[in-house]
Amino acid sequence: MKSLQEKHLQAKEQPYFYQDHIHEWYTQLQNHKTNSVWHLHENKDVVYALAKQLDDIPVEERKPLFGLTMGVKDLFHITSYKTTAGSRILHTMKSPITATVIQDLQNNHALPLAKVSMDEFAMGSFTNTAYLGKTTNINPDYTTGGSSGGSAISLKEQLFDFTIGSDTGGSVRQPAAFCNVVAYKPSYGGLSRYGMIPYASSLDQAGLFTHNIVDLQYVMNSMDIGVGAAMTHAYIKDDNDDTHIGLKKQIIQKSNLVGAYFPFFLQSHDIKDEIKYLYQKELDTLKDKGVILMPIDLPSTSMMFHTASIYYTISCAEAASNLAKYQGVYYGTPLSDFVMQMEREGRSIKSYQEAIALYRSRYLGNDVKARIVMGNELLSSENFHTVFEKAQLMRQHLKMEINHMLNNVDFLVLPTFPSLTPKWSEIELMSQEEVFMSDFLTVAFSLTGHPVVVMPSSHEMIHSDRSIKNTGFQYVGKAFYDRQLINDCVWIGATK
Amino acid sequence: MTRFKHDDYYVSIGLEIHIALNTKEKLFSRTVNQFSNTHFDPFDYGLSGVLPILNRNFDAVKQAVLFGLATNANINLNSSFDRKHYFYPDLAIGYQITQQYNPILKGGRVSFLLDNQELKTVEIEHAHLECDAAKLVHTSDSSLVDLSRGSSPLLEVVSMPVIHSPIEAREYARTVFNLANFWGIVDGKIEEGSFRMDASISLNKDPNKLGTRVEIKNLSSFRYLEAALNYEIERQAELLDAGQAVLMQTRLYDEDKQATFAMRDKETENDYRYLPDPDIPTLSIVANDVEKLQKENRLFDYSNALHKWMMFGKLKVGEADMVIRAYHKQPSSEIFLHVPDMVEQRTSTIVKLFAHWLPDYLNNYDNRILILPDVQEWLALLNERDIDQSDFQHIMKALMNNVDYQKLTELIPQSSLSNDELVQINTWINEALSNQKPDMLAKLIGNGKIVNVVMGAVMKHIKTTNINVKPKELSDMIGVALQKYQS
Repeated sequence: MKSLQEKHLQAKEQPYFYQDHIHEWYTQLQNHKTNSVWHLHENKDVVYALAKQLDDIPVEERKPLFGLTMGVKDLFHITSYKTTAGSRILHTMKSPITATVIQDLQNNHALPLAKVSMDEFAMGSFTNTAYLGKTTNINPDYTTGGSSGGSAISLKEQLFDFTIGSDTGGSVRQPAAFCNVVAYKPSYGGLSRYGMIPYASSLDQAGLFTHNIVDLQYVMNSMDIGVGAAMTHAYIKDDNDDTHIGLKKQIIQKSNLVGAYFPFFLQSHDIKDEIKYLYQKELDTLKDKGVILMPIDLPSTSMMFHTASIYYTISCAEAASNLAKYQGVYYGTPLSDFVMQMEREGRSIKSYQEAIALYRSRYLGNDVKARIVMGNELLSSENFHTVFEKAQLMRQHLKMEINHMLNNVDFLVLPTFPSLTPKWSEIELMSQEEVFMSDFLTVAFSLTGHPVVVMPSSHEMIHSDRSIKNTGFQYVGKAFYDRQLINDCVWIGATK
Repeated sequence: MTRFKHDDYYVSIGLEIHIALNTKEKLFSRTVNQFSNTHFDPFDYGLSGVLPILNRNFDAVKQAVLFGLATNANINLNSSFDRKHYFYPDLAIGYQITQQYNPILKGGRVSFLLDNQELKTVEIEHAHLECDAAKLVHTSDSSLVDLSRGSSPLLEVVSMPVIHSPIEAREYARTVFNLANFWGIVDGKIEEGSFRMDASISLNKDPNKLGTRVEIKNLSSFRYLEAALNYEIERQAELLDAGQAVLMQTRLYDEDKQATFAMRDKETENDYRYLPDPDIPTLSIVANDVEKLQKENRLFDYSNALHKWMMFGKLKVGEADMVIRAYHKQPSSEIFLHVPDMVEQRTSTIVKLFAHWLPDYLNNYDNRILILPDVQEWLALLNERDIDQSDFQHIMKALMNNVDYQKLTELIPQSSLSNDELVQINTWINEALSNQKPDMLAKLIGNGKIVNVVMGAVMKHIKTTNINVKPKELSDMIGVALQKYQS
């Protein structure tokens, strides 16, 4: 497979590159197998015009992402595309704005081709809750993971050169582990959230999927991160370099990398044997490469044992707040139509509150509703100080713990998910609690805002009858040292 | 404390005033702050994925800080914003951005004069910034939303429940309005809803306890505020007299019926589920910037100056406000803002004279720089004397032209007469003039003997009293009276 850089260099020289390929790409999209592609541009003529616009750019002026296509999770606004967030409540939504992250990529001449599938409002672990149906892995018995399952698998299907997803509790990292691709969750605040439909504002971050780590580095280096119309976007001007701000520039080439790992996960009952085996293999590979590995012992007081409950407390509360705006009055599936329908069915509605309660019950999915109800409960005056605030305090402690762990090392390495990619039949047997708890490895770094890269494991299970025999491991770096982390991962990935 | 006139109930009132701030941009969205149903952006209609951005020049923050400085409040250098959730069509985003846990201003006070010249001070509990909701306009068969008001900045000022009558409430609200208007933080149009009041009121036989609280929302004028509170006092007293309980509820005022009524909406019993807004970092203010703001605006205690001018100058609210406003505009005249303080122990005459001299000063001398010691000297000198407005003008003109103090004492009429005595003498003078037959008067004026004639008549009266008047002074007075008489 060609690297993205090679693809770009070839495309750069072709005078009609986009126009020559656009038809072929669209055909491919229409024939995909996994239900990962949802919407194309509203107006095909406009897409052809955009392709021409890009081709009209003289060769010398073609930026580093020229020639590359991207699939975008249906959580991001792109003008003239539908943006549904996987929900019936936004079925009619056509975007009037473009998300900053997408704009930044477009400014460097990448072309978005389609919106890809997700869990409704990014809430879910298996990309199976959206009203447009579930997405499957290439082997349809297996899940892609979620909530950015569409972004992960459509990349694997080679429908796009790279894809954009979002990560709130692990939504790019876990699908990467399930689909055998590379994913990256930037430091919180590194990329603007403008134009990204919010789930949990203090946790959400746009993420990237690529086939390999070299491609990831290429895309990040080619992206001029723009100021993002958001107060939580850490935009710091680097005096030495006009580009690349916030996600600190320093790259120090070291002779030896130092990584930290968790012996606890090699023994824990919460982690399946296959993962323990692959984790050990990963550590052995790192050691062989010359990485110095340091064990981190988790004291019983560590917040690492409570990550799932802290995460669900905070994310449900913020979700209940962020989803309050869906009332069908200003955009989305119209409330007025719904009310008229109710009246035709003989149901009289006596107040505005009653109307939107029924409307939201009808058009929001069950997983979403469960989180909203839980979130409102957590924000109620009885629980706010005792539960929600407490979770925030624990979160601060967790952040300090992780910062401390990263003090003398370049990265942390640990599993992404406690088992190999599940089958649908196995998911049906999981309790809701088990599903929530299975996020405990990824949510930690959403809570603390550290950057994470997930790379496919160096080994796979040998004697396994499963079709998907490997997983992905998380590499966690210091906050805002994203470029350093990616650089180190390139070095690590070079052995694989 | 005011007792309701028929019954032994102590009344406690607290006011929440919403001031629409006079900023160019809205609080957290990028459009201009004008009410015309065309100025809104996706943030105002709650487009998912659009985030709040504090307005560029921090106008709203500056105005809040100004209000705090003007009311002697504590400026919270690290305040934060919270989301207050409820569902209503004028709240597109599903929550209001406000400051529940950590507001920008704490404490503060405002003073004003009541009709009987009693000074009342109302303590402010806190004031905070928040976004306004959009405006609902009801037609006969539908409700329309005007989004241009959505996300406009408001400063909500919450008083302690230390107001004890509807009149006090009215005057407090008016003073806050004048203060906000003076410092340019409200756009001045009460009719457009730039200044909205919610009042909480409770009655109790025990002056140290608060009764059940009833809230009256959305009062849009001082008149309605007073009327609604008067009505509530009657209503609650009747209930309590009959042994019934007052229900804790939210009510509105019907201007046509001149009565309050309970809101039917369940929304009033909401748990607002306040969440610190994760999209908005802490608002950090630099202490130096506060000082700079204070200096740039030449901050002073407005309500204090206002009530002193009213009290000592016997001016009405509007007149006193005008005086302060005019003086404040001229950098050199700032000293005059402190005039009432300098004469606190004395009569009010001098203060009033200064007020009435104002137009002359502004027209002719507004570039003249005055220094405090000079003014204090003049006040000391002038206070000893009874002088009238024309004398005052005369004296001030001389002072403005740099006449030195020695000469100044010559300018001041050395009258040792009291006001009463002056009035009595003038009466005798006028009596003497009117006693003359017209042709006799004309003859006396013609041959210059009128003054002596009148003087003779007046002296006859004076001899019967203890009044001691110098001949020159008397002849001057006669001259003045004659001029007036002839015109």
